[in-house]
Amino acid sequence: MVGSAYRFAGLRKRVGVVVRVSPKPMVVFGSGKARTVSNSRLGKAEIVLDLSSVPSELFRLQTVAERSESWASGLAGWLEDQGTESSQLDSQSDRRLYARSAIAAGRVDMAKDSGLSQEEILWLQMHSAMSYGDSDVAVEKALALPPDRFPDKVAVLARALSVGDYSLTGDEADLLDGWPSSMTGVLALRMAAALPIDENRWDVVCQELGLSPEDDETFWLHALAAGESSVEESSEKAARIFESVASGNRPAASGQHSEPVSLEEKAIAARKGYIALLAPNEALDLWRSARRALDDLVDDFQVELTEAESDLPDELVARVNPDSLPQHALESLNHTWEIARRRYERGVEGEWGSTAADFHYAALTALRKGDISRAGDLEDSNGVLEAVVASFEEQQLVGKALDDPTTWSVLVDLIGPEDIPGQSEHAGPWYLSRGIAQLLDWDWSEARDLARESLRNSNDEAVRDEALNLLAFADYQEGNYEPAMVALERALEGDYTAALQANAGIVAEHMDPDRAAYHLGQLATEAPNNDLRLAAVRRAFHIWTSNRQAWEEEEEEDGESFELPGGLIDAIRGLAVQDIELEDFRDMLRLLANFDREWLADESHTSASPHVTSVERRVFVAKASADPADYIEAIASGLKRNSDLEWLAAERDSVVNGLRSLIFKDPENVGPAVYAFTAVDIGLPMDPFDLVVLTGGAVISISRSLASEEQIPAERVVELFEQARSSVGDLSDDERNAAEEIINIAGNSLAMAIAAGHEEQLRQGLQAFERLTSQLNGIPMRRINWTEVTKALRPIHDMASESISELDRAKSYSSATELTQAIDNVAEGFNKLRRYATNPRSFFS
Amino acid sequence: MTDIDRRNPYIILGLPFGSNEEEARAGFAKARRRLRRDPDAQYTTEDLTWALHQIEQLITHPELAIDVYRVPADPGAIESDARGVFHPAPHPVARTTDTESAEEWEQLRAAALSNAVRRVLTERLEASAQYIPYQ
Repeated sequence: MVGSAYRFAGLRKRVGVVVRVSPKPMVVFGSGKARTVSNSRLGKAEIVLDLSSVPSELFRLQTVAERSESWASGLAGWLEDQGTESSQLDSQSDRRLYARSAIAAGRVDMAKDSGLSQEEILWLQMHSAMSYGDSDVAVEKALALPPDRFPDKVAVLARALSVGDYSLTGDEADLLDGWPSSMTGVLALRMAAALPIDENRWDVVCQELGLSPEDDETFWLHALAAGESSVEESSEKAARIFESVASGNRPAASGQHSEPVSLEEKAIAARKGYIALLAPNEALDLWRSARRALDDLVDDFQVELTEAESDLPDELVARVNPDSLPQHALESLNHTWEIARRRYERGVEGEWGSTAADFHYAALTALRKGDISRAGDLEDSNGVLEAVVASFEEQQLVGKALDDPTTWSVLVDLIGPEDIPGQSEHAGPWYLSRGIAQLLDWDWSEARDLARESLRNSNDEAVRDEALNLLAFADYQEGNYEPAMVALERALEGDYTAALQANAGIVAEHMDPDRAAYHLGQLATEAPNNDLRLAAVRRAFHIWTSNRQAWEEEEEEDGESFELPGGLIDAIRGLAVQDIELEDFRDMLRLLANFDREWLADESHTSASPHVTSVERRVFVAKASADPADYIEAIASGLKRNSDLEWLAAERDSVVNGLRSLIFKDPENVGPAVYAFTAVDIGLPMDPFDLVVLTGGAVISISRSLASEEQIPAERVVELFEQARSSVGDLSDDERNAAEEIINIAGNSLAMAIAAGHEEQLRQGLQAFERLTSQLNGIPMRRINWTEVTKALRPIHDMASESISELDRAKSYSSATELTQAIDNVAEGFNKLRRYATNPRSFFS
Repeated sequence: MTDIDRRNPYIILGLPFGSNEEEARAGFAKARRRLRRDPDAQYTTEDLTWALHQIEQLITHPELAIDVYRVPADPGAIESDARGVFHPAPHPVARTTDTESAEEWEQLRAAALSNAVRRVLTERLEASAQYIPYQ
């Protein structure tokens, strides 16, 4: 198919475009050369660009010509060889395709032979240039077209505008007026055309683009377009926008804000009188491309670097950030003013040099001491120094000296404090600073007065808060806690500060624990770092628990529940899922396990903690759960894996001691004994003495309970008792004496329970025996099948034998004669029962 | 609650809260000199020693600072960085360029305008799904 590209095999594979099929196929190869090929060779070639669906042969050729310059060259030669003339082309579309092919092939002269008008040739050249990505040629051709025809040139112009630095002249912009704004690209061009030229056109375009004239972005564009005129720059809105752009932020307009403002925009905004925040590389760019403009900004103090520069030239740093330049660089640059300023700030005594800077700073140093004799050497750019000199002469602050806060401390020290200025934004901080100085001089009273002066003279929240803090400290030092607290709580209104909150906690500690816990709970929730939060929690807990008993002793005696304030609980919950040290995590969970059990028992609440797999979490979540056995098992599991965990051993000791205490305090309450039994049964690692005592206590409590219910203790109880009893010999002498006493009591209790349980069993055995034998009443003895009767009584016989054996073992636990006798009595009953069960005939005889 | 319970180690040494060890030692020396001059001062040498020890502890264990009243609570409120004749701003070195910068400013303005226009056009037209032929 003509126009399609084929890959031909041979010594090397080559791609060519078929431009003719008869009488013999002709192919233009990538080299630009046209060659005929055989039909068979063409048939074997691989199609790489199939244009068979494109109906026009010329369009196919144009397509391939625009794909490759070498093909275009070859096609041009082929076209020329064809000698095609307009008369041979059947239709307007064929003529256009021929001309486009010729243009693509670089033969505009041939295109002109196509019979198309000059304008159409321009139009085709425009599109051809765009297909090659040549915006300049495309725009040139587009602008050469008649203004009122060929609408697609607008899209071409818009595209060129969006990819290059192209802008329209006024005449060029006029050609857009005839086109509807709905057309692609028209709006873009209109906007670009209107900006530097025409206010009326600008308003229309803003409206069409949906840009409100009130938008900040619109204002900024307009300000840029207007240059030095036509924009109201003194308004609040202008100030906000210029300041925003100068600092690198977009004007706060609606719409997308993905792209930041450019360096040039920052510079222009700064030129309006605002500080340009420049990154070091931006400063360097301006330094290289517009140094005079940068110098203008520096001279007006309108440049600040956003970060410390590293590789900037010293000359540039000396302009934009001289404070950061090392001394040797200053000397190398002979920057005498900065050298002298630094010496002055350091307060270096001695002779000054002979530069203008030396004269100025020597005179300033003298002036600071009240010596105005060298005032003539001062460089006084704004008249403040003249006012300072006048203040000295008049013995009171006058003129511009009042507006410069750095003059105050100097002048007031020299003139006297009675003339302290009041009506100034600097007065509040000044009083505050002096108040703190008085505080550090241990003069609470003077500090308090100055704090009040600061409050009277400042509306700044930070200054007022600090003055209130100062006032509160002075009251606190004198033991006036309530006014101190009132001042701090006023300071805490508005912006939060951790330091004020901590101070409130300290003062509140002297008032009541709930108030202290509230403030420290606030600190624990809102402090800027986990360390401070943890410290606040610990402090709050300590204050609250240590004071609560003293303050609320009666309530404690009533046994009411012991709850932490809600704010403190919230803070602890928050910390429990933060990335804190394991030790801190343990402390927080321990508090929660004691005071917020329900919350902690839900494992999902702490699943976000970095310590989610820790022993601590398992133990304290178990502790918070409803079943103490879970807690004991968690401790046992942790200690079996790592017996060196001191905190866990302490938890274990706490559990063991608690259970032991409860058991011996009230042995009739079997609950603690059950958990003690669980601890022993699952092998909770513990001290051997503790093990013996806890087992003994559990056996006592459980045995007494069983005895009262005439139930026989389980075999496991007996086993653990025997283990404990056998361990006594391994204890030290003192421990053994104490343990033996407990084991004796436990043995008696156990024996008593066994006896009581078996006594009941004996009663039941006798009843069963009587029920069975009663059925034999009235039956002649000789007719009774005694073999069957004996067989029926076999369970009773076995039960009696087993009981006799257990009672015999129980006797070994008893150390009391009466108890032993009682056991013997029960055993005798079982002996009788067993005899009758063995030989029932004897019962009837 | 006694006065001892309210003792503040920083205040005793005449230091703002958060002072470092070096400042604490300097404060200690200064306060001792003051005590020698003023035998009726409200603190004793034992107080000063206690305060120095406390501050050293606070430096190594900052969490203990939870018990210390902070003055100032916000150092920024009193650390005036106000510049003026007695606290002059750093001096930029004198410019080496001439002051005829109008042409540069016009170039900057044109570039700024071009950048701003392109930014707004791109955002507005992309947002409205308008245009972009010849992708």
